[in-house]
Amino acid sequence: MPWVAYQFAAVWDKTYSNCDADTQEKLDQRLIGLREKGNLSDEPISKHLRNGIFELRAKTARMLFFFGPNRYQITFVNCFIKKQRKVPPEEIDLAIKRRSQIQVGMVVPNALPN
Amino acid sequence: MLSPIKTNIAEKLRDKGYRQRFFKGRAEDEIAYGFRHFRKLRGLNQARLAQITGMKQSAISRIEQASYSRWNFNTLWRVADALDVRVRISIDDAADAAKEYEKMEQPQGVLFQGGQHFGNPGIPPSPKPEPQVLVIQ
Repeated sequence: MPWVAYQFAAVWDKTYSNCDADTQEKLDQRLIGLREKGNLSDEPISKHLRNGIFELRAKTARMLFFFGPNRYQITFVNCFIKKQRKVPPEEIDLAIKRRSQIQVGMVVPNALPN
Repeated sequence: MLSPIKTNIAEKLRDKGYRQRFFKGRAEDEIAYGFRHFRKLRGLNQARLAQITGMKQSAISRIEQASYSRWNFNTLWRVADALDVRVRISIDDAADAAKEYEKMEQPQGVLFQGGQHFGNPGIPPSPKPEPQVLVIQ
């Protein structure tokens, strides 16, 4: 399973810990599916939203990510519990902004993979 | 700051209830993904596939929903025939599957940032090409 998942400023962990047990299990399943399929992933695992920002859905949780910044990497940049059916445009905008910060090297890793 | 996401999946899979739900959920996702993927690859919409299989469009839609698992094998074969795909069923020991996921949790490659290398300068292994079969786990 070559794809590795990263998170911006612990966004995944924070949202994950606020989810109920069912949603956490679904998130585990979908993240594994995403890591297996990588950029070939599609519904029901992930869905393209706008400008290379995708969402991973699991019940009430919405985890926004992009493929990068390098090969075989998936980076989650904005995660939240949904309040409405559609992902608010400002949440996508925030994800795009964070992706830009990562791509220009403004964001540094706080931990190496294991 | 960027950090790797750790799912601790191998540890969670030690719980029988969790792993039953996990395997079922993954299989449902795979079926929904596989049929949808090949339908799009064949350039068909749900209505056209329904016409070919002699099913209702709503039935095709249900099969493509991960939350729906009340399909039967005859239905799956009908859709598989129409899409000209192989449905391959793989039954593994839960312990072997857990080992597989444990392996996945081990360090993989390195996080590159802004063109700079951090840590071990190894590169992640190349992904295998997408198999042209539908695997039910």
